[in-house]
Amino acid sequence: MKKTKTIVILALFLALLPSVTARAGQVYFSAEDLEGKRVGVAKGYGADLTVTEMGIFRVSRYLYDVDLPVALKAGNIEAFATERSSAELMAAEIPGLVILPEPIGHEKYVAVSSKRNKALGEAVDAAIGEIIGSPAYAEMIERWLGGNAQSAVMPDIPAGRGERLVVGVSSDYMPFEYFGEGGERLGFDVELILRIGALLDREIVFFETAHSSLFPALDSGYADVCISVIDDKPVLREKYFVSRPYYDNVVMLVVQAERGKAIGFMDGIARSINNHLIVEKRFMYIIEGLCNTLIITGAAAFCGTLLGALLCAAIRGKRRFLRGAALLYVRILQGTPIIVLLLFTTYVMFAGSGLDTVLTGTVAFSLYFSVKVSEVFRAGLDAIENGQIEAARALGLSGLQTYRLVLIPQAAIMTLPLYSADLVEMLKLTSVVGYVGIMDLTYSLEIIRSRTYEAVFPLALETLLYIFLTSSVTRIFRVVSARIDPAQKMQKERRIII
Amino acid sequence: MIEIKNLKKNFNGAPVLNGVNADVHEGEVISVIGSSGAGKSTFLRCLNLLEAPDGGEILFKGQNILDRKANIRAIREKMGMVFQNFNLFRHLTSAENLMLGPVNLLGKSRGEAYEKALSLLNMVGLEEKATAYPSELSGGQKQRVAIARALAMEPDVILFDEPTSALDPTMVDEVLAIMRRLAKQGMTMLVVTHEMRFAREASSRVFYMDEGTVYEEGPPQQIFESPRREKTRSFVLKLKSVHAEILGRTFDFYGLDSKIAEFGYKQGLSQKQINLIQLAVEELILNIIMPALDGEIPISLSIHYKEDTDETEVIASMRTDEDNLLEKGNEFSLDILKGLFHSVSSYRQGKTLFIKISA
Repeated sequence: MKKTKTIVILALFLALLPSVTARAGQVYFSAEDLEGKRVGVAKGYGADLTVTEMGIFRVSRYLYDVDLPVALKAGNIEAFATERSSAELMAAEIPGLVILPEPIGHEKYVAVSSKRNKALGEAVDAAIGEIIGSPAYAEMIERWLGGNAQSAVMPDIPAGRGERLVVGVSSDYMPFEYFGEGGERLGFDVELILRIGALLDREIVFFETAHSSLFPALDSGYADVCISVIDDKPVLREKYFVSRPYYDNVVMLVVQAERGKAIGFMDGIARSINNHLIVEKRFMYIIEGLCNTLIITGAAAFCGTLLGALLCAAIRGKRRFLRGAALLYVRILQGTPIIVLLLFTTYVMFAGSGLDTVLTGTVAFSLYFSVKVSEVFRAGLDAIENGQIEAARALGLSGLQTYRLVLIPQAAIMTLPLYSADLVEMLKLTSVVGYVGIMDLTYSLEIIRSRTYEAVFPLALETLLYIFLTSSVTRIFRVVSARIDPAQKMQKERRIII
Repeated sequence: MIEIKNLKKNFNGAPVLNGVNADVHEGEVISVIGSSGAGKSTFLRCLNLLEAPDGGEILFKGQNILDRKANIRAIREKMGMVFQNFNLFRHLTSAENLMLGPVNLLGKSRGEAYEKALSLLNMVGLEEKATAYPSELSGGQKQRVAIARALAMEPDVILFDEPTSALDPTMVDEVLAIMRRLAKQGMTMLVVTHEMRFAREASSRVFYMDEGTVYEEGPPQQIFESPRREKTRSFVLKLKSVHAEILGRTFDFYGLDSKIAEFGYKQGLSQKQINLIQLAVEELILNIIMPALDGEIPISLSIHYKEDTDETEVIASMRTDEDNLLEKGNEFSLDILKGLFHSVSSYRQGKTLFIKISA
């Protein structure tokens, strides 16, 4: 009891710490001031290239844009670089940030399509040219990039009715592409895409994925064209068809100003709950993420178990060819990290098939789980001493009957805890599917995080949700175990089923 | 019922069974005895094909079971087996262990099988343990359930592979009692065993296995009392005695005590008789001989049991020049020995002095 109390007090103290420590004033005022200092960028975006080419900083690359202000506040970096509208949004949302006045570079956004379809590339390029020349362009800039993105509404643009045009986007980047309150797509790039669709009279279908997965999507045919703050780089033209730039942006540096007013701990929580869950009904994302996590885990568990049972039979069986093939399969899968497996199924195995990525993700995890299951089954069966088999055979039972009546029941009882542990582990592993754009629990909170720029609350929430899921699974298995292991029941409660 | 002709079995190239010939008739109770490694278990396990023979013929009710087309499962249904390690199905209760075969192989309904199971468990005295799991039973109880399980299949013959070897001496009797009862009821039984008393008293025939074959066989009186062949004789003789070489004070006397106890049980001696022998050994070696000799002279100890006269002899021999060891030793111990035992004497054969205690 005393220990718990100490921990609670310590936690409160740490939480309140930022609000009581000394305030520091602005230290850096220009790019030169930051020479040799750590500057953060979001990996793969235009700012990355700019900052790297400048060569005077120690560059820290982050996976997500939203991690930059967090890292700055935490003192991991002295500044970060991002394009102007992002910087403005962040400065507005988060107290204590200052955008340095001098831009350090440019980003030009282009539409990228496969070289295989030159006609499409040229058509898109022409459409972009037309849009830039029309009055709608200025409206777009005013609407999305004038600092009022929070209240922007997508205008009515007639949808094209012709052949489908699949456009790859990574909608985690306000104000260019993001989701609004009702789940509708908003953003500069999105409006551009819809206008292109109207001009080319083609039906726009959005293909949602992570930014780093946009090019693989193009390569494997999941998307016809990608428009998603892709910075124009010379190397792009070698591999893809690149349109003319549709927007010129600048890259700014952001540093810390004087620390803003601190918010009390309890107020902070209330504000966090509001921001993360209630505003724009963001909790719906979490619900969808939760469902996807459960679907992938459940389906992969089911398929993986069946496949694993077959593998186990093959390895323990007499046919050398089957055994060799099964062992090879196990070897390969055991040596492959789950992310690589995921990328493989999404971009190689099912390339161009148009299958829902939840399905391809499930396949990847089924393969992964099948190996675990086969190991668990084998361990269980091997642990049964030979005498059991001899007694069964001596009675006259066939091989199959021996398995069904004697070996499998015993193995199942013995290995249920192992199986349960592997299942729980897989549930946690599914958190990486965001990497190929599947919206699971983790990714859904990442999307929310990209809007609220906070770290502690969303991540704590995420952790709690995962803990809730895993402990539920564990508890279910404990109940199942108690029921199938009848030896656990008291003697007087036992009945023989007639 | 079973005819075995020229049965051969090799392990790692070395022949364990080298042309075994034998016949088993209905109602017979055959004990299979012999030294360890003589192939007794191998022989038994070939009969229900748990081991695959390398040569020869086995005819079960006229059918050659080694034939390719033979229905092994049907044959096994008719041959029950009881294992040294019991091998009860761990995930099933006693009753369910008994029900498994009849329900899945004999097509009985679960209700029928359950009734039968209860009556069989009753016969072996374990009806109240019907819902107990093997892990809740003692060794003796497990083996009794195993026997009941074999009986549940209504076999023509039951093969017992050292059924009491893994049991505490205190539990051996309960299992042997069931086996005796089965024998009396006319069940055909083949028993590989080290329990000589059972072999003598309950079997109709005894197979002594040696040299990879049934070296000698006959009724128990023949094998145990007047064996016809050399090796049988020396085996049987060895049965009746126990030896130890005591090299010095670091000798494991506790081990010797245990060896004596085991020997005593096998011979059917009472606990009192066993204690007496242990006492004799202790007093003689520790309190008379060792102090008197003072050096580390090896002592050869042997204990013989004569069945016909119910006499036990404890003989200690050592190479020494001393002649009056008995007098030189602890007087009190000598008095105890003289009081409890029939005779205490010493004699010399060349350089070796013998001290003999008869009970």
